[in-house]
Amino acid sequence: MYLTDKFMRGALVASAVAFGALAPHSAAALDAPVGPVVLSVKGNITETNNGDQADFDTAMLEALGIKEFQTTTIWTEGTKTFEGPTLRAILEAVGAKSDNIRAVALNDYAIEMAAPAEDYPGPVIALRMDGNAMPVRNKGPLWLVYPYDSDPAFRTEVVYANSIWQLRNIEVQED
Amino acid sequence: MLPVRSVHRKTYLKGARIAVVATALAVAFGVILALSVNVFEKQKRLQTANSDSVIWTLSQLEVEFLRYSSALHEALLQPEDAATLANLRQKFDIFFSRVTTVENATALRTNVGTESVDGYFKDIRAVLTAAIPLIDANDTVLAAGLPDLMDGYRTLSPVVREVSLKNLQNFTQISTAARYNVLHTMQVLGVVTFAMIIVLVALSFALFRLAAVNERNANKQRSLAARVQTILDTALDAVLVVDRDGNVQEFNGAATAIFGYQPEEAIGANLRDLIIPEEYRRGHDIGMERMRRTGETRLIGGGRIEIEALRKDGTTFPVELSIETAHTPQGDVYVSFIRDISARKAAEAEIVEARDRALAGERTKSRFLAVMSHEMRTPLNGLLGMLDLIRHTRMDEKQSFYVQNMEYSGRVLMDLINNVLDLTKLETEVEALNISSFDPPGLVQEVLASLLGLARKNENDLSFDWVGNPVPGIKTDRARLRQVLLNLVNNAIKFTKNGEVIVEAEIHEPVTPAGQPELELRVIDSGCGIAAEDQKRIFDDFETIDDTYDRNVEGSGLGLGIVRRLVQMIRGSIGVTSEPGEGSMFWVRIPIRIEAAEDSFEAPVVLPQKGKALNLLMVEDNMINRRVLREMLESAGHTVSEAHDGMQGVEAANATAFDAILMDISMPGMDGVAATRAIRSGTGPNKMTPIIAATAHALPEEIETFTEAGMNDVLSKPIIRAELNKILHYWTADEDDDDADIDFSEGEKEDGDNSFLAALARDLPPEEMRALVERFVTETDRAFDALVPLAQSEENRKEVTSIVHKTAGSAGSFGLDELHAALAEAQTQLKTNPDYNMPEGVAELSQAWLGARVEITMMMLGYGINLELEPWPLSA
Repeated sequence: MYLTDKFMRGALVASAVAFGALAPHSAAALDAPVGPVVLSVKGNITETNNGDQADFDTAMLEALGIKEFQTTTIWTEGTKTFEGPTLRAILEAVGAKSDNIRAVALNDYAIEMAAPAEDYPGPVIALRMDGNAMPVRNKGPLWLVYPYDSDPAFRTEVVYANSIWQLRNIEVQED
Repeated sequence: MLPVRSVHRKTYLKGARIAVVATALAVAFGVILALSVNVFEKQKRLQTANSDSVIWTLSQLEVEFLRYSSALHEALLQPEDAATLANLRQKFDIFFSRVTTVENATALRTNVGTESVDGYFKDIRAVLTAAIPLIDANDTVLAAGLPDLMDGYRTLSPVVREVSLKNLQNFTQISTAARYNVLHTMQVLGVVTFAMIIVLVALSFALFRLAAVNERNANKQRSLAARVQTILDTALDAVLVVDRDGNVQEFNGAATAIFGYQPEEAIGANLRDLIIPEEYRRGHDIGMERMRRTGETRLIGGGRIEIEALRKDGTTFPVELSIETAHTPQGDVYVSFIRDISARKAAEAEIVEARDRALAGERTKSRFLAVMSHEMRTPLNGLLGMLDLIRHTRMDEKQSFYVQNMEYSGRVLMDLINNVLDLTKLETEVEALNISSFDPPGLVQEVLASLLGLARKNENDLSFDWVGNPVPGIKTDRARLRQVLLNLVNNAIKFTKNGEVIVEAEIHEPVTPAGQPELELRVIDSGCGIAAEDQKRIFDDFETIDDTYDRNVEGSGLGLGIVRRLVQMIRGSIGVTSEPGEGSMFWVRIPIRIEAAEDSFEAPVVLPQKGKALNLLMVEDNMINRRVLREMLESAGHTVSEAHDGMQGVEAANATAFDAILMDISMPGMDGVAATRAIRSGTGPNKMTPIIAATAHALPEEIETFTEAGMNDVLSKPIIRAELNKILHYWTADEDDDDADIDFSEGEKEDGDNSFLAALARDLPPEEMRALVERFVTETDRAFDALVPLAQSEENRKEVTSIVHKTAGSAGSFGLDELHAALAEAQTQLKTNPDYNMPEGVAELSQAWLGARVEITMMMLGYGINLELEPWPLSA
């Protein structure tokens, strides 16, 4: 596991360099959400727009930069196209001081994970599946997904457990 | 054959073993690979989970259903609270989402044989789908529809429970199957691992054994090498190992001792420069080159070879050498054992020299004996002749008695000399057996007949008795057997007075199956007998028994010695039993072969023609000889050309091709040897024709001269017809002549000195014989008549020499050896010795002729021919 992670990290470093050159991020101060809030991030963060937490509507997430990839999942049938910002983009947007996060779903499913230091390919907070926004009835509106097909490292029980759907809150932990 | 096969078998076994080991290794490797792949696969499968946590998913279905249920109940209590309704909507959606998730859960659907839960989900989905319009509607409609949702909820409740249980059941089944699957894999793994361990153990064992065998072999190899080294070091012979290029690889201590090189000097150097003498190097190079090119070896494997070798100090010495090829993995090497044989060679040379000296001494002795006997016979013949003449003169009784005694003594002396001659002849002749077929009774009768006169003189009865079944004929050396019998019967008659001599013959069957039948001849007399103590030594040379028994018995003491030698020659045995006063029995047993009779002695005197007719050249200066030889040759069907001396012979040989040439040796002018050389070295048609020497006196060294000159064979004079035919046939017969074994035995060599006269008597009609001999005698008489006055003056020396030569020729051809020898000697003296007393010499020759003349006269009487001669010398 450890070895695979390390390998994966190596691959991610290479990708991060590539993407970093194409779409540099600006950690601008967060605007207040206009539409319904779909994601709230709190905890060990610097950027907030609602008290000690950072609320995001769909438009704000779209603005973080959309990654699009195709993959199969063990929960769906056939190859699906997912679109959304990366977890890393969100953490940077909120000025997360730690990679350790706790993510909680609408159904109170919660996980704790260390967000990978590198950007895509890594967990993406999908907004759309096959071009359509996802309703709660279909694991929406946000689904933390990995490009499972791209790497066997993404087909482990930990990764599956981390693939939290109906994601609503993220709490960045202390180190 | 066997070792080769075992070697093959060994190789085969070795190959099989290697194959087994290789296969085992391959199998082990394969299994390890398969296991690794399997394990890797397993690991990969562990790394990539194909399902979410099933238990969680299952429990979440009911959990989320219950949350929906509580939200629904809450909404029923507060239908107008928007937040409650929103919560209901959310819980509905979450539950809806979960249903989809659980329905699609691959972990619960992959296995065949599980109970399908599709029906339940269909029911659940139907209820949920029916609820969607209400959930998605505004709060008022939703609030109004809450009772409907409650109904739906009540419908769903047992189904959700049921599907959860079913799923759990299915999952248990799947887990069990998966566990069994894992267990099975583990079992297979275990079995395979165990098998692999066995294979590995077997392999280890095999390797261990292989190592042990290798160790043993290595030890064996080491001790073998040590042994070989010891053998090499202690070998008395030089041992050199060289490679294909002749470079020395091994050089042992003995080699150092023999050749003088230290091993470090020799090893690596080339054999050629080391030990091969200069003059053999070229040959060595050619041999090596040939071996490299064609693989042909001449010295190698050829056993022991004697050759010259070179020492470090440059001296050469003889060695004995044997080389063998040894096949090594690094290519062939040649192992040579070399022995210094200088000492042996020197010893051999010494022995050879000693032997040569001894042989020369022996030859000198024999020749001396022969010459002395000859020399003694000549004057003795003269003496006897004179005595004979005296007897015919008028004498008183006393004188007559003296003469008789003198004559008797002379005859004894003559007998003695003859025996010595016979013995010398036997000693020097190593003649092969002359086997012929004949009828044994015929032979005995013949011998008895020839001794009838002697028997009568001693008043003995002679008889012959064949014991047992007669045989048609036997095969053995007839001439020798005849002489044995002749001597034995002669002896018996001599020692028997007024008694009887019986010859018995008997055939003995072979004692062993492989043996030969034997002919036993017994000569039994009623004579004086031999004392027991004498019986052993009588067969020794020069042994005579004290002749007090009978003074009249004459003997040289050589007769039985000769008989013993003859019997040994024909591989027989001889013995005697005797009782003094009663008589003796001599027995002879000889191995024979029983054959159909074809006793040639019984055949008519007229010779059948044998062999093919030949065209011959006869080179002979003596008229009488020519006459006799021509008669012999023509009667055999040959054509004869004559040449009267060597020069004529060479001319004739250059002009015409002959089948063979008969060449006299001593001729005036060019002699036979010179003529032969001329013919051989010339270009005439007879360059390759067989040339046969005809000579009366051929000593071994002379025969060498003849052969050297190019003569093929030697005929002894007087020429015997059978001998002549045999030699001619031998030298002229075609290779494929199927009558190659023609029997020329007729006319066996007679005993006695005048065998030539005997041969003449047989070959010529009596009248011709008489004419020939009379003419010879008359001519010789005339020659001496002429010689005596001529010899008085030295002026006539040349004429005397010529007459002497001519007479010598005639005497030679008549077998008058003594006369011939005397004349030949005189001739030599006349030619070479100016002080030679001619008158005296001629007087001596006249005496010799007188003796010979008497001899001839008596011989002819013996053949029933009474010569009509004028008395000679006229002066007597």
